Amino acid sequence: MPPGQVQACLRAAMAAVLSFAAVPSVATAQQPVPVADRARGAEQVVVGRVSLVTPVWRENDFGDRLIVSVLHVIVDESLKGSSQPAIDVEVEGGTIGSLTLRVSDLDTFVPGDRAVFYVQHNRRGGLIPHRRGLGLQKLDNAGRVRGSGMTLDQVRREIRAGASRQP
Amino acid sequence: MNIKPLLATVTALIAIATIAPGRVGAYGVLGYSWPQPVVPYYINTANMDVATAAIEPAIRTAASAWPQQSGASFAFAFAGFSTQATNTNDGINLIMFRNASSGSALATTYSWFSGTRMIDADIVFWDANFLFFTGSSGCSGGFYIEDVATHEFGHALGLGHSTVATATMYPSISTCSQQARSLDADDIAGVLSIYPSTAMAPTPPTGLRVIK
Repeated sequence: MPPGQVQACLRAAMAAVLSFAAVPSVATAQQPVPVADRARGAEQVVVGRVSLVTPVWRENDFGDRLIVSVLHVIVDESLKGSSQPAIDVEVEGGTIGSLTLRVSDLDTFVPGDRAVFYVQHNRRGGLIPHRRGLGLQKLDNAGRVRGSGMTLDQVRREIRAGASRQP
Repeated sequence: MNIKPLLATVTALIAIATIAPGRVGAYGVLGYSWPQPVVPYYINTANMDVATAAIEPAIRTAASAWPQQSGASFAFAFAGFSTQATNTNDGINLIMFRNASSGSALATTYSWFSGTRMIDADIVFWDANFLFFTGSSGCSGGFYIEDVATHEFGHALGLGHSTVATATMYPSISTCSQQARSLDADDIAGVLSIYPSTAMAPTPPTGLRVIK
């Protein structure tokens, strides 16, 4: 086979590989909720690291008696709202003794997890994720939003742009 | 230029890429299951969108999808109606609608377990921001309860999300889709991994003497 023909075959084959390989990522793509939408209505948006997880029994605003994980978050950066060195965020789900509650639309956290927290106060005065699951965006070691590839810089920019558009 | 190794590599890549969707996309299990084969559930039919009489058949359709379509040795069984509007670990597996929203979630399953034993599951439909419908026609800009509930029952029996876009346990659903009420092969594999089919031959006991 002449070299030119071989290269053409290889290019075609590689194109086929790429088109096949692209199928899973397209198929599993989620419809991302824009950061500005997550931040809209949130009282505070912070980037921070969970230093402690304390599971407690709490009643939520609907009257559900649930296990709630109180995340003590050391704040690296405040993107919206008041600036505090640390905040406690209550996330439904957790383990007390041998009993565990898992809540399907909420992430679980362990100490060391870093995330963007979009929070609001509940009726008891505790901080909870704004719009539940949408108020939690875990970050990977590279500072990207897990599952999206979005960088923290992009998050910052979108929140600032959203804030500047608000009346 | 020796092209054989290159062609072999490309051929292998094509083979990997071709089977990748099946291997990459797969069900997730949460690591717990119900110890009993039949689990009762109750429904609070109060909601904002649908005649209350239509709720129970829609939920029943969703619950029965799992054992009927997979042959799994597990079933949720309708046990009655309830006016209870809160959920907790009370041994009452409740399905309810709530005039509130949860971001982009249509419904949420609260699963209580001890070790690997499931002990309570409650499902909340977030009714404030979404329109719900029942049956197989008439939907406009909303979601069929049958499909959303089939997904949530999947969580309630111990399945996590799947990365297969056509699976019931895929984490998102299109408006008016009726796909989730029909289990995908991936969903069936998932539920059977937790509750093997009753049609399967039981494993023979070992260490026994045959006495004739």
